[in-house]
Amino acid sequence: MKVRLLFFASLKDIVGSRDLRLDLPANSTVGDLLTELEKSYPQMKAYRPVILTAVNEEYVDKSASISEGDEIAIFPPVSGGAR
Amino acid sequence: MISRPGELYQITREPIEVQGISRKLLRAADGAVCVFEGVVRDHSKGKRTLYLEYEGYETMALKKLEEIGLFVRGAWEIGTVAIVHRLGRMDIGETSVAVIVTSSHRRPAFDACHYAIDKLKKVVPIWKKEFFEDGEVWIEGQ
Repeated sequence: MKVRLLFFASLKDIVGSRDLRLDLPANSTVGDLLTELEKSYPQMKAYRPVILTAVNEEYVDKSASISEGDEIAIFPPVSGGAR
Repeated sequence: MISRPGELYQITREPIEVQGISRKLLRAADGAVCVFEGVVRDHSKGKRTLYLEYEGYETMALKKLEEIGLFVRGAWEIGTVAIVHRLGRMDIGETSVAVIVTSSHRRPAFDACHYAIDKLKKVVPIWKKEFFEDGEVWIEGQ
């Protein structure tokens, strides 16, 4: 199934692109996708504990399943800041 | 941009006109306007910052701004709310984000404004990159 991936901030720098199209096996989860991406971009592994993911603009956890045509965004924690 | 009577949510690349927005929001029944502005400061962790660049997942960020606004409208007795975030390059002293809340009395405006900026910093997908004399770095949360 075809999906669209979006990367932001340091993840965009690692991947070298903001926007990728990918063909995934049916029934993939967000976690499966991250594991697949880590093979191509080993630097992503360091982000695994903190990485945030959104499917179609809603935050999801790594067990969320992916459907054909989904837009999956992958990004570091948002900028936060001291209070 | 999402704009309804009493509400404004916007991701913009232009300077944020806080005074104009707050005057436009203000209703006759309001006795308080609480404004929070996040501005670009000249230092970070002991280093001198030259300027910042903000990047965002714009469509999702706008949805999140609206979610925060709707939440604070339900949680506090406020009149109006505006949440605006700017993206792109900003120099020292420029406003990167503004939360404006009006209400009949001051307390709900303070509380809603405080909640909204804290929530924004946690959930709105926007990141800043700081540029120094000797390099640049993404500022990312924990």
